[in-house]
Order: sequence, then C-alpha cells, then structure tokens
Amino acid sequence: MAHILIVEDEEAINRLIKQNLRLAGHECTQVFDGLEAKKVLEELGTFDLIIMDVMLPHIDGFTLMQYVKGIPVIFLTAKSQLEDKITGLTSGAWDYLTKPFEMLELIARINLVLQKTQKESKGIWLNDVYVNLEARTVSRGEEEIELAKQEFDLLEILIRNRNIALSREKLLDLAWGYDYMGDTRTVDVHITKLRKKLNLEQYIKTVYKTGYRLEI
Amino acid sequence: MKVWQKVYLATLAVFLLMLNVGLILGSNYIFEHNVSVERQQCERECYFLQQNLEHDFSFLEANGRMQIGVVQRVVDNYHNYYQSQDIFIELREAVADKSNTRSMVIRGGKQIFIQVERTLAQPYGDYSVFYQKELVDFEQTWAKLQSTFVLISVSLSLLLCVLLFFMMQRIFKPLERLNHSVAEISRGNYEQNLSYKGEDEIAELAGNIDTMAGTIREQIQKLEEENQKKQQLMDNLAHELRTPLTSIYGYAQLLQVGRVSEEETYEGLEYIMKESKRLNKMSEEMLSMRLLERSTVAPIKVNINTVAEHVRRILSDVLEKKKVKLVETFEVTECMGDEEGLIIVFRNLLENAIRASKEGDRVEWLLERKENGYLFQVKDYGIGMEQAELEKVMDAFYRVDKGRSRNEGGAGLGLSIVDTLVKKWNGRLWIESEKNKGTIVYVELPIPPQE
Repeated sequence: MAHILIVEDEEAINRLIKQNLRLAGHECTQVFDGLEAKKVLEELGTFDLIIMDVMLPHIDGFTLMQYVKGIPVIFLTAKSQLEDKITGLTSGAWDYLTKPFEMLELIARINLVLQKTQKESKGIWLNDVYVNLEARTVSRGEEEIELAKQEFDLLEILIRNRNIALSREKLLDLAWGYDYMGDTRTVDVHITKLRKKLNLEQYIKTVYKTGYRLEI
Repeated sequence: MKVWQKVYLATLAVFLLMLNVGLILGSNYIFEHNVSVERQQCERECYFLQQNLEHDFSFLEANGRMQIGVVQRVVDNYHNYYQSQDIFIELREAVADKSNTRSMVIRGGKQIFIQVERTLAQPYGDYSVFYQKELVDFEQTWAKLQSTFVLISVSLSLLLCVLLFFMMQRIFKPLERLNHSVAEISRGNYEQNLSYKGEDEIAELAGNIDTMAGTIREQIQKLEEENQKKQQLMDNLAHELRTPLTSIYGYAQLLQVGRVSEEETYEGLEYIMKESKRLNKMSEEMLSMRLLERSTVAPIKVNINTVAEHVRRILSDVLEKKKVKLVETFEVTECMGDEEGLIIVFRNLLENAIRASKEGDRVEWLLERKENGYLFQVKDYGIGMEQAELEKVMDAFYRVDKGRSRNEGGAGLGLSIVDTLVKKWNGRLWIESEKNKGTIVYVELPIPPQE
C-alpha cells in the first residue's frame, strides 16, 4: 500500500483516479490546483508517488516539479504532442499518461514505479493465506502451500490488479505472455485450482461476461 | 529585346536617317549653288567677250579689213588667250530661232563643263560666240566637302549612339527596379518599398505597386491571424473534448470491471451523465456560434425590461444558490438589438459576473443612453483578472479559473458568443478588471443610421 498524491483540477477525473487507486489498495490525497499542490508538497512532502496533470490553475505541472524533491511523478496530460512528452520526461518525471487513459495502464504504470522504488508491499493476506510476492511462497499458518509456477503467476497478476475484473485473454497475456501455448480455458482451469488450493471461492469472483476479479 | 533597347534602336534609326538625308540635301544644295555662281560668272565673261568681238568687228569694218582670215586671227587671239585659263572659245554660225544667250552645265564622268553661247548683236547676227569652261578645282572641292560631311555624319552618329544609350539607361532604370520589385512581390516577398520620386507614369506605377503590395501584405497578415485563431480554437476544442471523454470512458470502465459499491456506482453514473451533458452543451454552443456568425438580423428597438425579466428568470437559481444580488439600473427603457440576442448576451455576461462573485456580493447591470448609442455595464466585485488573463479571455474555451468554471457548467464559449453577437450589431465590447477588486464588462451598441 502506497500513499499517492493526485494533482488534477478536473474534479471528475481526480475522483476517478482516486477510485482506481483505492481499488488497487492505495491511499490517496487529492488536490485540485497548483497552489494547493505546492502547499501540500511543502508541508507534507512524504508521498510514495505523485500523479499530476500538466495544465493546472495557478501553477502548471512542469513548474511544480521543483517542489517535488525526489518523489516519483507520473504526468497526466490531455495533449499527446511530442513536445509535451519530452518536456514532461526531461523535467524529471518518471512516466506520463495521456488522457483518456486505460485503467489497467494506470495501475500497471503505478505498480512499475512502486516496484522500482521498492514501495510495493512484499506480501498480502488473502483470508487466512499469506502470499509472499518476493519469495513467491504461499502459506497458511506454518504450513506452506505448494503452487505450480503458472498458478503463482496467475495469482500474482490477480493480486496486482486486485478489485479489477480481468478478461481471460488479458489474464493469459499478463500472467504468461503472448508466447504461452494455451487457450482461455487454461485460465479457467488454473483459476479453479487456485480457488480450491487457497480456499478463495469467496475472493476470486467470476464477473458477468468480463472475466475474473480478485476482491480484497 | 527590352523596351529600352527597342526605343534606343528606333530613335537611333530615325535620327541617323534624318541626319544623313539632311547632310546629303545640304551638300547638294551647296554644290548646285556653287555651280550656278560659276555659271553666272561664265555668262558675264561671255557677254564681255561678245562686246569685245563686236567692238573688234566694227573696228575692222571701219578699216575695211573685215575678211575671213583677219576675223579668224582675231578669234584665234582670243582663243589662245583663254586657253591658258582652261577656257575654250569658238566663233560659230548663229542658229536661227534661238534666244541670244544659251547656257548649260554638262557633266561627263568626273568632268563638269559650263557652256555659254551668245549671238552677236546686228549686224553680226550671223555669228555667235561659244564659251566653254571646265570646272577643274570644283571636283576636288566637292570631294573634300563630301568627306567632311561624311566625317560630321559619322562622328555625330557615334556621339548620338553613346548619348542616347546613357539617356535610355537613365530613363529606364526605375522601370528595371520596378520590375525587380514586382518580381520579388510575385515571389511572396511583400516587404517592398519602391518610393520612386517624380510625377511621371513610372512614379505613378511605383506608387500603385506599393499600395498593392501593402494591401496584399495586410490581407495575408489578416489571413494568418485568422488561421492562427482557428488553429487555437481547434487545439482548445481537442483539449476540451478530451477532458469529458476521459471522465466518461474512465467511469464506464470502472463500473464495468472495478469492484465498486452501490454508492460509487451511482456517483460514477452521475459523472458520466454530467460530462455527457457538458459535451452536448459544448456542441450546442458551437453550433449556435456558427449560426450566429452566419445569420444577418438587423438590430431593432427592444424593450430592455422584457429582456431583463427573461434573464432574471433564467438566472434565478444561480443567484439564489450563490446569494448574489442583481441590481438593475436602466436610464432608458429601450435599446437596439434583438430580444433573443440580448438575452443571450446578458445571460452570459451576468453568469460570468455571478461566477466571479463571492457569496453575498452584488452584481450591477447598468444601461445609459449615450450620444450615438447605448452603453451597458455589467459590474461585479468578485475575483477579477490579471492583465494577461484579460487578453485571453475572449478566446473560445479560455477559462480564467478552469476548475470552478467547469464545475458550474460553463463550456468556455460564452464570451465568444457574446462577442459575435455584439459585432453583429456593429457594437463594441471591452473589459476592465482588477485582481481581487472586480470586473466591468462594457457593451456599446450604436443606433443604426436612419434610412
């Protein structure tokens, strides 16, 4: 779980990001203009990540970079012009996203940054089962539960995208890559195995016409 | 061939022709004159000779020695005397039916002879004296004269060639410069200043070309400005569309795949509907702006109280929510425009004013009658604007305070629409503002000239 600052003047988008991040298990602070962002950064300044719009009232995103002091920043921009991207990246930002953005992309980029800065949680409790993402082990109490590599890969993707429904194709792609020889039924088979082995029937939900979602 | 070359050659040809014809005619006249002077001389001499002979004959007759041989000797005497002067003398039998003096000029090859024949007076009328003189030096003089004339002709011609050349160069130089400038203009370089002084056609042409280049320059600048404005509008539009679309797409995706509570679902759907409405409003406003730009409604007399009543009704919710007091001060009851348009104008201006106001503030709406029109003021005591913002405020989609204005439902086209309408009525709109003190929007509508 990370503490993330959202700087976005559009209320609807700010709230949308917050909800997405909340689903992924992060804590958020919302600010709506440049002045407010500057104030928050100067007073608190202890965020794991900042998601920031470029066009902001009063002080723009690029200018705000001088108050950031080493916190990773992902820029959000409505302009997809190359010029903006270059300015964004040379100003010290870690990444950028153009509006409109995909939810999965947002989560993936945030996870990537958190992984790099090692702010990502190393393990997670699912009911009575503890999943250690670093050691790639799963245990219930003292007892370790044996998971095949493919099963753990799938579990990891579900955890990283918790509370978001992923289609079978997406799971196949994210867990095992495009090269993996198998069809979407392989996903079903492994989901069934995970549910059984870890006793996660209540946690791994089948979402109508969409796919599977790990709910925590 | 260039014009100056044509003029040069034509002038040169005509001048040379005239010069040479003149010289030839002149030299001929001199020649003829000299010949006739010579001829008169000969005639006089012949007359003198005739007198002498008549005198001699009468002397011989008086002495009774009027015989052929003696006469012949006398004539021979004369003959010999004159021969030394290249003059040939002969006594001939007179030809009847002829005047007593005949003279002629004979030209044979290079030689010129003058012949005079005079019949002697009675009683010696059967005889005539024949006098022939060869003009020896004459040919030489003539040749000399001719070569002098040729020399004059050639040197004058050369002088003319050179003088005329420089004159033409000078006269046609501005034309060449003009040509160069026009070529530059045709290449797209409109910064030409010909500034040719004078009052001839070339100066006139230069002046006209200057004016033309100026007009083209202005037009192109205008086009560029308009193009830039349009580009700006497109950029703004793209940005403005992107924002609601991001929300709509984002919430729809969240609702589809995310694990959301009932409350969050409701909230997400609310956002989707609100942003869709915003898109709709934007498209409506843009459409109405296009329509306004095209429509041509002549301004008529409108009762301002009717307009105010409408506007008040539209704004009543906003006024109440923000607890802003709207104060109307109308000096007159009528103004120019059209009712619907005026409602749009003041609804937008007042909306902006209310938006800028703090809770409990006052917004004033004034109308004054001026000498040649009506002056409206919409005055608020709200947040105001800085100079930099003031300059951009008329651009479509520009917002002084992005977040708030969007939350209150503006699409960013209000002032653009107002400006379009005011311009339609030949009016003027300007804004005075001071940060944190307030803003005054002035709308001046002229009374159209009576027909």
